Amino acid sequence: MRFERFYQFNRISENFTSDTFLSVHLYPTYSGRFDDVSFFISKNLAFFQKEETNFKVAFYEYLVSNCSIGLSRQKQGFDISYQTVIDIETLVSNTCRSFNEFEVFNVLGGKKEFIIYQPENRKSLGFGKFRTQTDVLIYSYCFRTKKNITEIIRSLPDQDPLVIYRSVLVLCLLGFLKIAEIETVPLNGNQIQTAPVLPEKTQPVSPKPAEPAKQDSQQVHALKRLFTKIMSI
Amino acid sequence: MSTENPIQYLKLVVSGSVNAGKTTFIRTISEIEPITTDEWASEDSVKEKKSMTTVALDYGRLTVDEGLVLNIYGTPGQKRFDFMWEILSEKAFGIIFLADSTNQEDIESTKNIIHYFNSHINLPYIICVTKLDLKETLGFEKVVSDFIDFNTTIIPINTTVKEDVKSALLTLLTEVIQNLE
Repeated sequence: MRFERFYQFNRISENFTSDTFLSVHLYPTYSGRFDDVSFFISKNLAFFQKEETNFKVAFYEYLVSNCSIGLSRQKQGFDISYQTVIDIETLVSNTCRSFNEFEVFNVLGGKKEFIIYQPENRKSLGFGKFRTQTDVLIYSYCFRTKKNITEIIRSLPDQDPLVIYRSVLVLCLLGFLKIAEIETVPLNGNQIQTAPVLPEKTQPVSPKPAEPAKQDSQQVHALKRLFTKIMSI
Repeated sequence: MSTENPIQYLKLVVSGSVNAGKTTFIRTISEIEPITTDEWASEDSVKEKKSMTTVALDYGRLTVDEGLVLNIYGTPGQKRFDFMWEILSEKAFGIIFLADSTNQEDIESTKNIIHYFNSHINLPYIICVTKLDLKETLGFEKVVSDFIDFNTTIIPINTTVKEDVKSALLTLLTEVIQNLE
């Protein structure tokens, strides 16, 4: 019964978008939201490499712009519209905590589908389809090796950037909260960071004291450089 | 990725009601073709104005120098995407609100957006009045009077004109820098 329902969702979404790369379907079971979307990914690999990225925005943007979102908000019928985007956050914040919460099935059979589970009780939350074999291969590789996505992408220099981009986005979905292993650069920062790791309970927490005056000074300097640049263009 | 030449990023947010010119604003100043998330509008009220609308964000960039990049984010105009407004504004140095001068309803919508930002995000901002060249415009003075209570700088711009967009950016920067110094 459960799968019938999912397939029903999928058929509906396919009727609405002929070029759906990946369909994700969620139940409006949870509420939640992104806690940090300060980064961006381009549809261009070179740009991606320059920027580095937190995949959250990419994931979000991708879902919004390339996926049809099917969601039953009403007792009767389906609401296929972007009014459902907020529920995508549900997937991000409450479900896909690790690769272990995904299960790929039918890959070898050619259907290339995956299913997303609610971690607590393994209840299925949705499923999707890969479009290309490349997506599947990269996903499988990532899954198998537990490598972070940045490494995977860099290991594929000869790939068409758009193929990689799409693959990355699939990985964003599938490996979304492996984010702790993904290098990120804060938008207003100047050093490479990885996602923070929570300290052990026994470890003393010693946050660095804030230096607002210094930060303001740096900010003003940067803004003045921007001012000069804009004047010159 | 190298740590030797770190790039600093500044973040600017462009917001306002549906069809106020946010995407155009970004396109005019961005050095790259803006990355947009336009989709077919699903709301009737939006469809009346345009067929495609921003659903998540627009993104443009301007490289200041080898160590500094301006990232420009445009927000969706519809209230139902208000969760994106806050997300996109995180760590921004300021906001430019665009107010469509051709429609009183849009002016009210923009006021509501500014109220939302003021209550959730404390960032410097200016208001730019757009579409003053269209015959339907209510006029700059009328729009200024609508926004007078916000006690901020209000300037007229044409989002398709680079000098106007530059003027808006310089105005905001001047205010932000003055506040910080």
